[in-house]
Amino acid sequence: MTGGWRSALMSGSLLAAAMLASLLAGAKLLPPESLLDLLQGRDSEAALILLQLRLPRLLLGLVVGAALGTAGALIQAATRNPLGDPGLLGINAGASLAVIIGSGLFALGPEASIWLASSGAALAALAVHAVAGAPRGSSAPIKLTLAGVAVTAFCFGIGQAIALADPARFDLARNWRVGALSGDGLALLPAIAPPLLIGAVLVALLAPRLNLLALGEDRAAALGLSVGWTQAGCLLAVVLLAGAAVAAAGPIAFIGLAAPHLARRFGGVDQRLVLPAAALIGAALVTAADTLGRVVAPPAELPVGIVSALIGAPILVLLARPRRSET
Amino acid sequence: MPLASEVPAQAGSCRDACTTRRALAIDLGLAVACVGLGLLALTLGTMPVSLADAARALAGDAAAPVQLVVLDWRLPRILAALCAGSALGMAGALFQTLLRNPLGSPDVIGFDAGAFSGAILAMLAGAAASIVALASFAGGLLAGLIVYAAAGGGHVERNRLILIGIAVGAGFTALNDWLIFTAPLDSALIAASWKQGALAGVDRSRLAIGAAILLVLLPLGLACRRTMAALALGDDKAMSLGEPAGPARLRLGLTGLCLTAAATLIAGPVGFVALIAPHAARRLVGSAGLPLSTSALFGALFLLGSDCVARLLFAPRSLPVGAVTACLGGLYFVLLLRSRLRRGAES
Repeated sequence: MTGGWRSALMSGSLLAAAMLASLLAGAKLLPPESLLDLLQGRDSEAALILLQLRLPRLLLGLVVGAALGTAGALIQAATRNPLGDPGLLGINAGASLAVIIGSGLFALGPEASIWLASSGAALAALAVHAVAGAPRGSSAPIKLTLAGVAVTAFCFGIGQAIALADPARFDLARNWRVGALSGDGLALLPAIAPPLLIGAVLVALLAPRLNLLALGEDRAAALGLSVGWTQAGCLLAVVLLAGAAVAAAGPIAFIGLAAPHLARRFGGVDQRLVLPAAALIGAALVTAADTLGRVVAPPAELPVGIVSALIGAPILVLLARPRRSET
Repeated sequence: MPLASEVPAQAGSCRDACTTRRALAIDLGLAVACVGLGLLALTLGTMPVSLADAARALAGDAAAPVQLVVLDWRLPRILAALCAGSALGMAGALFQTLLRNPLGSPDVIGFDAGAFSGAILAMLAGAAASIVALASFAGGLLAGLIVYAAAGGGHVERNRLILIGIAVGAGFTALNDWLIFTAPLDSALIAASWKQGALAGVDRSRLAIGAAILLVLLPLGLACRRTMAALALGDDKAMSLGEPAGPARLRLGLTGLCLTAAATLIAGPVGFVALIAPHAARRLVGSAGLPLSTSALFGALFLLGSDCVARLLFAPRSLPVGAVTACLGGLYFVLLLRSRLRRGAES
């Protein structure tokens, strides 16, 4: 289990660093001693900022990041697609459209929108699969991703049409679309807890099966794995996790793409290690992006979804560029 | 190059001759449908105008209000839809051939996001509509050139090019979302509705500039037919037919990019036209490659039809045309899927 220790150590320290930075940095830079104030229950201004503002936001970021990281890892494992990401594959967009329809047209509250988001995510995932035509082979990731972008464009077009009909609704939609961790995150946590818990149980059940699936569908079937059920379970877990994340913080892309790649780099390809590590790393990445967005131009804040896309997109371009030796 | 001129002759079997004749007939039918729908669209709207009145207005001797509605309000919009639609349809056929992927249309791989960035920046700076149109033209070209440069020229593998396009599009989209998020609500509303199509605000000068550009670009696009056919045979065959793959791809890409930019200049970034038109055109004609002229005509008809739906469905309130093309595009995919499933069940 050396890989396990290494993976846990690396992703754990990444997360700890991100959490520390998130608590201390911001519009007002707090000294590290203020954490002791908080722990000892002393009543200082710093402790108040930590308790009322930064801690709830950190908690929400951790939960959302863990959900996104795990969802990305599940997609990448189940479709054997290194580009798997709920943002790139249109799953976030489907969830967003469902939330916009629910809250905009039927004035549903956040509790209902969690489940709506998951159903929207499921529809989008099925649509992507259908449009891409169940591709196989080396170009499958690109085909799936293109289908995801097309589904995203569809969902965005319809969502905008609904939002544009009413300025107040549009204002709500534009605020939510950038993917921001709101201050009242704690109020959302009870609402998103049930889908996240179901998702976590599914992940624990699926992890060993995904290792078999990594051998290829035919071989996995020959070894006694029911491929269809495994993939269906993954789909269910992905839409629950991504739907909850989108409902809580808006559509955030690239976290689900990056986290599993880092997780595999830290601890190898065993899914029983990749999935928990991806959760920790996803939590760390969202926390770090949120912190970065708070410190680049205070007192203004860059929302976490914007930060992650503005950093993630150039990195993806660099990774996709041909290496010197190939040209 | 003697070999290059032999390509059509070699391939000139009876089946191809039939396909060509069929393509001509379909092109003619689509052109007639465009004119017919255009005339019909002149008469429809919140103020109904009879066909005879519309014809009189076109000839220039109708009552002043009719003249105003038909010539100044409806005609530019209809012509703009036809121009932009044809440019988008042809650009879609070029890009999908270039990227060898039926979903590889310019709006999907980053162009629209770049055009929108240019437009938002111009709008937030308080520029006039014509400057906004030019800025979107520049933004789209910039996005295309970034993709091209990042991909290291025309020699890159297609899948990498698509992925880079998607990534660049995601970056520009993040920028756009942030600009919309921080802008005052009223400017943000205007900018967001521009993204869904700017046909409503089209005026004669913008239409004239766009149409002049297209007058050059559409024939250039049509001239890419042989290059497309050669590329479809694979890079080595194309080379032996006198079409080296690198320059050929560059030509297709640049022509497609300029066509898309011109369409954006006229009508704003309307999605799904470039995606759907080549598909539908190929299914209509039944050809192996993507037919350029049919794609252009289908694109024109599709955009004009979508604009009519957008204008009339909830009149006097008009829908964003981008939402209508997205809905119709989604519907098309569903139908396509159903026929594919049915065929799968039969075989």
